[in-house]
Amino acid sequence: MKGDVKRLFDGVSAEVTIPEHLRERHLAAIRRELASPPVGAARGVSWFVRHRAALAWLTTGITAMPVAAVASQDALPGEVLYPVKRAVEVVAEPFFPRIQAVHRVEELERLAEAGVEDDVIEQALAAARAAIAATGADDLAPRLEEIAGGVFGDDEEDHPVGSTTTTVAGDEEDRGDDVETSTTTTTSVAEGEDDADDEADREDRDHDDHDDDTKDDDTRDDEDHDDEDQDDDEKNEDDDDGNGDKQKNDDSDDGDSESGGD
Amino acid sequence: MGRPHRPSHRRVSAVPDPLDHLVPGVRERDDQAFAELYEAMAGPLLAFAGRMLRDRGAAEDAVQQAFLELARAADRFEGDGRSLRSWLYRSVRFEVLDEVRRRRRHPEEPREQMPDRPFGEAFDDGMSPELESALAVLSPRQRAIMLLRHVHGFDGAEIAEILGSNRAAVYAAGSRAEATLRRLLDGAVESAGSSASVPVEADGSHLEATP
Repeated sequence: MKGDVKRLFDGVSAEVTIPEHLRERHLAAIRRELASPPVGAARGVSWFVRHRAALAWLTTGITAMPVAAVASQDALPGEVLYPVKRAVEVVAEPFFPRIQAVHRVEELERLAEAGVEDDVIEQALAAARAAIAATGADDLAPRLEEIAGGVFGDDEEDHPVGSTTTTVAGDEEDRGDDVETSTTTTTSVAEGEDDADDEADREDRDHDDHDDDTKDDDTRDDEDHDDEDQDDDEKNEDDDDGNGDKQKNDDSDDGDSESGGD
Repeated sequence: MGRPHRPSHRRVSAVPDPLDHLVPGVRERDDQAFAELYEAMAGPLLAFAGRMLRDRGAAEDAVQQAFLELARAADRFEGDGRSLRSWLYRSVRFEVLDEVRRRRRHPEEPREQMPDRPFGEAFDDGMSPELESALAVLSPRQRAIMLLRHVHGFDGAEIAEILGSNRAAVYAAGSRAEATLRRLLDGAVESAGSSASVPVEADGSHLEATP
């Protein structure tokens, strides 16, 4: 059947003659095109140029991630990169089991040196305790207490329960209205050595590992329940002194926020 | 021009092609290679474009555009002489499609094709007026398949490549086209020359639903 149709085209030439004037015109146009920069080359070769914007973003992103991860390692609670640091810890934990404890103690030390507000220190202390308990890095506990003693040394004379530490810092400014806070803190430090408590902390951490604030809260809640209940309220009043979002979150989480207290 | 085609033919056939030796020069955008390529291909391309468009001037423009396109994109061309040939046909076909669309948009323009007037006078390719009239009935796609298969000697795979289609679709469209030609020319061959009697129901009105 095909053959018959094919025969219809017998004698049809596959080409026609190109007149000289047409050839000249076409070849001239082709030569002009060849003389100009190759559009195709500009497009083809410079794939990187055409996608430079996307590449720039990609490169920035790829570079920024490790940079942020490294830079974040010096971050302190409340700083922009601090969440990055915590995220890195989560990733690094299987390889460096003690990383959280080491970092928390280190942070506490630096915060203490920087002389930040007591409740920030207090929170860092609680976090450090929780981390030590969770990671079993008990060898860091003495160091922790040393720092705590340095910060709250003034009050230790009045509250011997926290006097397991040996360092006494006498140059703290007068903090009469913070006595209760200090009481809570030093008490907490003392109880941090209680294994049962640590176990509870560890469980809390497992649930709230991603949330610094919550973790600290739970930790402190547990401590407070073991302690006198009144400490809880008084501490929260101290928290309301206005020391950043972290503290406000604590208040609301505690469920008995008395904002504007004091 | 934002054409949807690129010189992306990578199929390399085992059979040597007369254009093979031009490929390196073309890729280097060499004047001489292009001149030789023009000598070899301009005639066939003009025959194809002319039969597609039934307009010599438009066909000449289409051929020129195809070579200019190649000149722009030559350094990206990958393939052998045979795929270079296909590439040029494909490019011409795109030019033809552009022209057909342009005519659709501006049917009042004088380039409107006139199936009743034999185009053969402007063309020395030896096609009979009967066949010419019958081809005019086919859709541009069917006409392209008929010309590429029976005049220019491409096989199904190559036609599919030129049309940007697949072999099955080309085969199906080709079968329909041949059935139409057979029906038209069985009677028309005897009553030779009465091209006005050719039905116009399928006159290219369903242009290119290329898959």
